[in-house]
Amino acid sequence: MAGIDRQFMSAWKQAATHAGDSEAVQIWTQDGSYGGLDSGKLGIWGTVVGVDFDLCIADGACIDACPVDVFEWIDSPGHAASERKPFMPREPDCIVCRACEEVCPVDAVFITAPDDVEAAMAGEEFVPAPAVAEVGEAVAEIEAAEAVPAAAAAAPAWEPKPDRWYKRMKASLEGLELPDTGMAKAKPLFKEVRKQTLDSLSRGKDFIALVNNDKCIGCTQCIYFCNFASIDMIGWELETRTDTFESMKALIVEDTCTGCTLCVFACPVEAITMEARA
Amino acid sequence: MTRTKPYARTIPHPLFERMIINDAMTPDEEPWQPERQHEYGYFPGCVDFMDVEVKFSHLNKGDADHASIAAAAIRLMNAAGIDPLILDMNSFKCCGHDQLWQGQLEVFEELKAHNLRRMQESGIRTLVVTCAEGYRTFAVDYDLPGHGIKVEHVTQTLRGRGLKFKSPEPVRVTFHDPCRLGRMMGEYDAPRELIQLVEGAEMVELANSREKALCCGVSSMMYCNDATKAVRRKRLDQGTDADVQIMLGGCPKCYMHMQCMLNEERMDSGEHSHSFEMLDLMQFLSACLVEEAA
Repeated sequence: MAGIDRQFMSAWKQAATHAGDSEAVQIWTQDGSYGGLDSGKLGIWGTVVGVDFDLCIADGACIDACPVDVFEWIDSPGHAASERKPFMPREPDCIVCRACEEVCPVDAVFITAPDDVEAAMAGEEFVPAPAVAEVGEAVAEIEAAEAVPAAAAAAPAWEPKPDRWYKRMKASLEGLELPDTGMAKAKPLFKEVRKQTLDSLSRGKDFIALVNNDKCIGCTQCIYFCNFASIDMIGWELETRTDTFESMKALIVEDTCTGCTLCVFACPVEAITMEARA
Repeated sequence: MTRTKPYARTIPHPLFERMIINDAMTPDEEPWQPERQHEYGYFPGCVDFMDVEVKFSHLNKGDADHASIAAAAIRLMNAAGIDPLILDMNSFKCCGHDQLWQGQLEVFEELKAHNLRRMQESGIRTLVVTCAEGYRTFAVDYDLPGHGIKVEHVTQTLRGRGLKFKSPEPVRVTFHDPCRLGRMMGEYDAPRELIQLVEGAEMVELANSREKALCCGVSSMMYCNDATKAVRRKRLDQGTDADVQIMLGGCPKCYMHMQCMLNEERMDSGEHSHSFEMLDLMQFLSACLVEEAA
């Protein structure tokens, strides 16, 4: 698949830098020339967080996926693929969870762990640190799991709900546009609240998400947020004062959890907490 | 390792609650004037504030689609000859129902003061809401009637307006009475009258209905746990017992939580005990509306 050139740090040339929040962001091009944001040829931006801006279609998936808010939009007027790009001013914040790499629809993102950057620049062969923490023999198991066809290993399969009437309803509303909802005003607020919450959480490879079973309501929302299929639902026999019934609760799969905290944000009942790995 | 994951672009729930509070506590004293005078105002409330960008419809595999409730309600009102002023979040704030019932009184008072001022500025005579909770909050807790504005649940607005509905196929439906609409406000007939208007739809009552209706299990978003889930499951079981094809609701919260349970059950393959659809009454009526030739 034509994606970002994974050897860019050795094969491409350092052309320019762009000021980030604390450190400058490196710009790489194949021939070492760079003509600015409106030149239509942007190359790969970033070192740890490498994004091929010439492939990027400004889908925004990486911005939404990033748990530590590394990216923000930067305008690239006149560019053929898209007129804005996910600039990474907070690149040093990256926790190498690879969520952005996972979600990019055009495979334009490549994450290199900071420890591997030197080897990558020298063009040495290196084994990319797995996105997951190495827990004993788990690594071998993960490699085995990755050999399984991606579709089978990925998201759990839901049986479709009956949706005949749902589709009819959608068809009846076809072409009807909702007036402006005024949600735009919530976006900056959201960013602020999210930043506060993030700062209060422990995250990264040394931490793992844990589900408090007493609180989990089995709503499956964390599963949608997890980029690594690290969350499973398992059946439980639930007992209430009047009833006993079978229901589901979430379970974090330890081997593939990257400590990215996305599930913590997803949980409506605050059942998920971040704990240090033993 | 690639995976299609189209549902992740949402604002997660705990943050959303904090956003509402943050929004409530930020004073907004700007005067506001609608472009022209409207008799009716429609407050979509959470249905749009929450849903279009926020959470549940994206999370429930995209099929707990709250925004379509608002769209359907606007379509039906237009068909009934009503041109409502949309009271959107540019000038209004959350109605504060959840905050009030969770005991966050100071937040609620802020929201109430803001929305009351805006309601008076808007110059509407009748306020229409699709949400049973919003209906109760505006009618009782805001006491809008005492401020000269009539409050109606959309089912009350639409009944007796000569709308024609025809179901594309014979269908057995039931109505789940939301607590705020039924037990609190005493409105049981308006939704049923509307369902009776649908040609080809057979209305059956659940084992517990009207005053004796069971709860959807989540009152005012306070908490969801094993016990509330048991209640919800019991309610859905009654739908199975009545052998319905659609369960209709009149409150986005019932809708959202029923969908959530249905969704969770589908993670298991095999037999499903609840094989019907959950829809909001507005969505169902929109699917059955017979449009008059203009």
